Amino acid sequence: MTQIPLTLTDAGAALRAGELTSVELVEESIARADAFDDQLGVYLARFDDYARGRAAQADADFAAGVDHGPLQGIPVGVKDILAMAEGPTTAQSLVLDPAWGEGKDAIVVERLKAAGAVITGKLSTMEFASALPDPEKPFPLPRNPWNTDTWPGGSSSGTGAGVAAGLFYTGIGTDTGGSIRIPAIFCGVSGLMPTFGRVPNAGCVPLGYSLDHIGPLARSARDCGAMLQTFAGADPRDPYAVDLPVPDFLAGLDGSLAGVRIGVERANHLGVDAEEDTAVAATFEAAVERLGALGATVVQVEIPHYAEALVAAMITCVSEAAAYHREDLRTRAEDYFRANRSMYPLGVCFTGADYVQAQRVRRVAQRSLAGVFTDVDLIATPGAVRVAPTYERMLAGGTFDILDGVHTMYWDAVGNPALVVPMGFNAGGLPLSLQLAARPFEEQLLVRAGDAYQQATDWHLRVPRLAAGVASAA
Amino acid sequence: MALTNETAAVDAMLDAAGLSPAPAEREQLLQMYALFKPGVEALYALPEARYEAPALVFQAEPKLTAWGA
Repeated sequence: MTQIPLTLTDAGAALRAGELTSVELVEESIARADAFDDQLGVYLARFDDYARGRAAQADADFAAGVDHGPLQGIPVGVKDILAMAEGPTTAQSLVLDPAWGEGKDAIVVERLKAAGAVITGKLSTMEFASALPDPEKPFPLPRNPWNTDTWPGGSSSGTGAGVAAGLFYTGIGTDTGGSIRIPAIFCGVSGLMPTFGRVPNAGCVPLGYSLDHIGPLARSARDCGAMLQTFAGADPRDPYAVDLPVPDFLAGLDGSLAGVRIGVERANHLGVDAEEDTAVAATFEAAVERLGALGATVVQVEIPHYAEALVAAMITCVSEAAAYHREDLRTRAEDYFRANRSMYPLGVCFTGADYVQAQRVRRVAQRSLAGVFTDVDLIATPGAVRVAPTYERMLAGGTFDILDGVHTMYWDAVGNPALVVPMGFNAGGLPLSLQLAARPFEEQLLVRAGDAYQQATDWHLRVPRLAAGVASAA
Repeated sequence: MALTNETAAVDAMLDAAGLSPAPAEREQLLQMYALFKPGVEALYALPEARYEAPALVFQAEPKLTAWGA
């Protein structure tokens, strides 16, 4: 294996400078998958020959002066709850009809292909993007490249682990309660959950219809912006996508946060979990100090209705999932992953009125949050106060035990965009992350802030020892 | 008493939905229900929600082309 650029941005520059080819990048991705995937469980399906063909086409396009944008020739992974014509979609489940989405591309996959991206395969998830892995089912158990005894987070597990280990530069994740950001946090990469409605969901197996977000994981915030640029924007085939202009997410990345007001939220995040990692508070405060040094005005804020919004999101999620899964649960429950056999039926135990009340509370939470955003432009929190758990711990603790230590689901409840970027490590060498959230449809500011932080730090460029030898180890 | 009521409620709703989780899964489900039920009740007690409209949108004219059609 050879040394290649760490970021999509640098790889794209090297491709355009003629310093390397897409075929070389793809061969490197394939070599890394051969070397690491048995340990990491990143892929459910690999499209090596397809990827080689796409890479050759990308190189031919470059040679002919045809440039489809920053994803052209870049190896990309796709979470296996999105349809892609080259292979079946499983949602990592025995339950999903193999004919679902057969021969079709999800809208975001269509857009990635049109942008010249080289999709290398379909990536592991949790079953239907929820709950926990099940060792008794015939799917790989995804592992965290920073410590393979630990979980890489989920549900976009393969995307997080694959980016961290350099199997591809970026990948698609989905986020209903944190499933882009949790694996980004645990794997020490960047993850951007766009505003609800910014990206069309059609062609993606649903978990919670009013909570599902498709978005990128990549090594840097800038790379996430490049990725989002390729697939953001409304489509008439999607009932939730919002028809607003898509800005240039890579504009104004000058490394400065002058004029940006950042509200730091500690009240609902720090000192509330008995198992908070001892490194989180100091690491977070150092990250906040760095944001201030970059020119931001930093103030303290408190998010109202935080706990209520979490309950509303959870009731919404299990209710919407139960509607989708009830008939299969009646007839073939044993085919579901163990944790989902408990979680989805929870959705039939609450009432229709409970569901509607949850949607009323989501509006309350949105309004009160909008009030906070009149005084600040971004809100900063730790992404999680625990690090990646061991498999042993996770499977003993259950689905909601995991959610106790992460601070992602509030943003799914209200629909605002949120970005996580690495901010350091705990004493055991596992990644910690800073979370930044913005007003609806202000992803551009998130990318700018994340990029400024990453111009001043190198946490996002640290590589797990597992991948040492192909890049510098942390 | 509350636990008994919650157990009865869960069993009734599961039965109405035609779902029969295995005993261990039912037990876990009961624990999750007990965890969330007080929070759900608290949603009704939120004064700001009393006259709030839900975050639901229904469009009479769908204007949609089905994906995959």
